[in-house]
Amino acid sequence: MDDNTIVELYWQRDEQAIAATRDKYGRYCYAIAYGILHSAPDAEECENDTYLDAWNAMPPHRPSLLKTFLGKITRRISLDRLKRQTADKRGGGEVPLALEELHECIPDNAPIDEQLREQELAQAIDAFLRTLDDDTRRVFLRRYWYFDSVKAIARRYGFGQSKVKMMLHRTRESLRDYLAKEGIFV
Amino acid sequence: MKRMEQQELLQDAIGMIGDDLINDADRRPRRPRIIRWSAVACACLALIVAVSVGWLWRGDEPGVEPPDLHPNAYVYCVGETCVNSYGTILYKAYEDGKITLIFDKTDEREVYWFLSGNDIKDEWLDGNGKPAYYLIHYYASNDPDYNERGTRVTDGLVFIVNGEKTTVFPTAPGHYEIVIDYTKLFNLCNEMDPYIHGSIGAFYIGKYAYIE
Repeated sequence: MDDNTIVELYWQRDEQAIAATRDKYGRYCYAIAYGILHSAPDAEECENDTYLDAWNAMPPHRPSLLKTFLGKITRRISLDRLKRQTADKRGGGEVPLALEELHECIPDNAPIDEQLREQELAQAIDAFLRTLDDDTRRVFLRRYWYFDSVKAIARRYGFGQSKVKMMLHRTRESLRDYLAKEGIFV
Repeated sequence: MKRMEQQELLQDAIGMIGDDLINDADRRPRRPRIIRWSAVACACLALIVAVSVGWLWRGDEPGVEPPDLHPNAYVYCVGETCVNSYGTILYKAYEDGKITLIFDKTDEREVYWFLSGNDIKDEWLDGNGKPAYYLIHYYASNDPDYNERGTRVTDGLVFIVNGEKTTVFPTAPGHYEIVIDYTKLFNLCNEMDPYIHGSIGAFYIGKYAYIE
């Protein structure tokens, strides 16, 4: 079933929309959730919660790309769940590691503007990513959007792990410089 | 703003980037570069495709992360021999889900191994009607401390050492013909990855810095 038809089912409040979404994008959502939570039951719950959120969002929303619309929901739900699970103690897995790595993007002693809206930062990062070559951008997103391990990224693209680490390190530095240049971390 | 809040703000902002970028990063790589690289290194490259069999030699270093597709690794193909401090290994034969090695083991150290493969999902179309993919990694290892992302296959692996089935790899020095039957692992990847058909397994033997 094509995406437009599925979205139309949501708009018609037809519950077949859920089944169609699960058939077409269930594994994608599950993979994102599992990559964050490393727990099959939790990933399944997040996958199911994604359908519920999608149901509540459409209408009024009409996503242009259903797959990533769902993926974003799954990522958010999964990260929220992880945050709840690790409220007292940061857990293992790739997310805490990725978070620590991301801190390199913030210059020392340069607090993020408290008033900065997430959306503005997202736009800046989006613009930055579009300046990168394809491989560098994909590696960055596999790490910080999908939370793949360095090893998984290396395998996916046929790079050595040291190369992936170096690419990520340089990209983080470039992002830090870019954000500073844009006046975001001042 | 606290450190963690800063990190989470960045993380959340990355989560909001353009759909096209997210989708692009999820596209299946056209072909892993190791395969293109191995084309130069190995005449049988044409038969090596998306799933390969990793064969890792390690010393007394449990928990050391295997190097995976290290750029300096050499892909040994059927008929080729590798010599290292553990002995000599001839890659005798390959068929789907099985490899046969002749191993003249001269060292008593335990050999740690891992086998891995990717299931490349292409079961749906994205919003533009183009195929969308992601990888699921399957692996097996005799090292209980070895963990990596993906699904560990804990059964279905059979060794036939000098004609006898076993579940363990020989440690004592000696001359061994070893058949590694990893059909289950192979099928996990094969049944869903059209690129595997007609493939040949390759095993990677260290020219990795830390091995010797």
